[in-house]
Amino acid sequence: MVGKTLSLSCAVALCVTTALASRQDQPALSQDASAKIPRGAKVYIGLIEGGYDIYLAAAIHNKEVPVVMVTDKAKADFELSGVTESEKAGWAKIVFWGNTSTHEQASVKLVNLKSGTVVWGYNVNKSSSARGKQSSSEACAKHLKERIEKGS
Amino acid sequence: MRAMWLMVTFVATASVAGAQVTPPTVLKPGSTVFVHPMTDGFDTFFKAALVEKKVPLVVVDTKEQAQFEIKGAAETQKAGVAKKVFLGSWHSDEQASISVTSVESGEIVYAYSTNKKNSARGKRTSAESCAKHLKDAVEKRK
Repeated sequence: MVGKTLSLSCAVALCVTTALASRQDQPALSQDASAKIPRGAKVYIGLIEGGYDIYLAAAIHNKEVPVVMVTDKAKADFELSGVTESEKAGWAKIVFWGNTSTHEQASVKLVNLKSGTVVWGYNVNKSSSARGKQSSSEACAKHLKERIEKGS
Repeated sequence: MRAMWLMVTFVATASVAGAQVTPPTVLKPGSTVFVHPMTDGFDTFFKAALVEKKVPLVVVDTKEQAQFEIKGAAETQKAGVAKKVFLGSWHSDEQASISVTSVESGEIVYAYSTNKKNSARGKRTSAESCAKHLKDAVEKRK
């Protein structure tokens, strides 16, 4: 019994040590939420799975976010990157709720390419997204615009 | 007095020269565009929509000939059994997004996304929506 407990404790300690070591291996991005995003800043949108980067570009254009989008990272001041996930409505949602809308979630972050700091980030979760990826990307763009206009 | 005039002339020349360094990237009628391949062949639907909606742009075969490039993504969600049986709808849900980039400057000059629930004509509807709004954007900048 004591032997079992000891070996279990050793295994847990090993797991924790490995996890901590692997975390230290990753290059850490520093965070500066008070940093300014100037109007007219050049933003490069990194490739996102499922062409979500193009939805983000459209949303930034539609919401008139005061930034210049560029396709060359070398010319950019900031990089916008993110992840997204869509879940189609299942039969139960369609039958019992009469709702065919998808469940959308996305997360984006804006990194200052010169200093390497994360200056802004936003998560969105739409349980019954009226316009799918368009809705979630426009939520991100709207909040980015607010952040730029607020100053810091 | 003469020195002041010289100074004014110098400043004016310098500002004009500065403006010439970065010409504005504007999507004008007659501009040449290259349409990149898109998921599920949406580029073909989009090219057809450009013709159908009489968008005043010239589609070219290679990126080297083009002033602008168009990239896009599209997704179709076919109606499942539950939607067909309980909602009586056979139509698909469509979403698509396009972006127009200046080849010279690398700036994204226009972008648009569309989402059509129960799309009457599938990808054709979403492609024509993109083309219509692109036409509006081009003609506004005549």
